[in-house]
Formats: sequence, C-alpha cells, structure tokens
Amino acid sequence: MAENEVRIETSEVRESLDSIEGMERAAVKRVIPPLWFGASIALLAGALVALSVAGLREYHVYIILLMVFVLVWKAQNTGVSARQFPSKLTAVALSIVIPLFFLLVVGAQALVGVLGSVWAPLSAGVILAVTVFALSLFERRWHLTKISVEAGA
Amino acid sequence: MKMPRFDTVIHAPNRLQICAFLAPLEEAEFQVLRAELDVSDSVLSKHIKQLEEVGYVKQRKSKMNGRRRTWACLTGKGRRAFECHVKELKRLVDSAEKSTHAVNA
Repeated sequence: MAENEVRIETSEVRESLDSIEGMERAAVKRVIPPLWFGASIALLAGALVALSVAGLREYHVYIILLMVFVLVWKAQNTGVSARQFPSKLTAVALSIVIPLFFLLVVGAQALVGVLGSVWAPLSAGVILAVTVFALSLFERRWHLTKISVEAGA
Repeated sequence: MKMPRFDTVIHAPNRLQICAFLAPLEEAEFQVLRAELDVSDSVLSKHIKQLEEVGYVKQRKSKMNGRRRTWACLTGKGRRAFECHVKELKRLVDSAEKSTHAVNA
C-alpha cells in the first residue's frame, strides 16, 4: 500500500515536471520572432544603408520610426515579451550587422564612381537586407531546433 | 543557492502551468495565458489572484487601440519560489528512482 502511494506520488510529480516543460516550451515558441518581423527589419535596415550611401540622411528618421513601430507592434501582438532582450543570439547578430552597416556605407560610397549613384546604394541595401534576413532565419531555426531537441529529450 | 522547497500554492496544476509559462518570459498577456492553459477567464483570474496574494505574480493593465489589456509577470519572489519548487520535484523523482533501484538490486 505504502509502495503504491509512493508510485502515485512519483507519477504525479513526473506529470507536473512534464507539464512544466511543455509550458516553458510553449512560452519560448511564442517569443520566436515571426518571419514577417525578420523580413520587415531586413527591408528597413537595407533601406537605411541605401539612403546613407545615397546621401539622403534626412529620411533616416522615418526609417528609424518605422523600425520602432515594427518592434512595438510585434511586442504588442505576440502577447508576450522575452525576459532577455536582446537575447545572446541577437547580440551576436548585432555585433555582425552594425560593423557591416558602416563597412557597406563606406564601401558603396567608394564604389559610386564605378557602379553609379543608383546601383551602389541599392547593392549595399540588398546586401545588408539579405544578411539581416538570413540572421533572423538562423535565429528562428536555432530556437525551433532547441525546442524540438528539448521535446525529444 | 536556491534550496529545493515544495510550494503548495504553486503546485496546483493550473498555477504550476501559469508559473512555468511566465518563467522564461518578462511578461505575458492575459489572453495568451488563457489560450495556453485552455481555461476560462474566471478560472485564470482566480488562479492569478491567488498567486498575486502571496506575491508571486504581478499584474499590469495597459490600453492599446481602445482595448484594455492585462499583463502578468512573475515577481522575483515568485521566480525564486518556482525554481525551488521545480528543484524539489526533481529531487523527489531522483530519490524515488534511487529507492526503486535499491529495491530491484
């Protein structure tokens, strides 16, 4: 009888631990940035670098405001906010993107004579947009893999 | 160091799920919590209130596009209590496994 009681308690404890893991995974899943978010930030970052190369710095403020709007909208509509912002992965991504931004601005400005005043800013913008989008896809994949590994464990 | 401690307030299934969902987050909206737990508004409110009374959860109200939204988050005390409770659950499972091995040996 006593043994039965211990077994019941242990199974209840196991159920509780499973339920905890399930809910934690559900929470992490909600924090994963949606595809549209990565795409919009990539487009805006690309536009920012293209405008910088083209010397149209007066439009920066609109792009930055749009970025803030996208960030706030995402936070409000996902209904959750991450405990750590930026996450480690986002911090690593930013440490790649910020130097790349300046490198592209300087590089593209140097290439204006060769590529022309339209193609140089556009190329720089496309390179940054593709990089940002690739990083966002990598972050999504990393989170999803982590969740499925934990679920399988 | 956090010591394992069984918490009767947290252990109730719905409250355990609320704490587990809030643990990796800064805060979560009431509607999201309700959807994840698959319970009614009143049931969720009751459990959140119980967690709030012991100081484990804090609520915040905001207004967006004319819609009132309620956000819940774990307090420092709640986070510590939840971590201690999970440790205790793991310790119980470990000790049960050890005693099973000892009986089988």
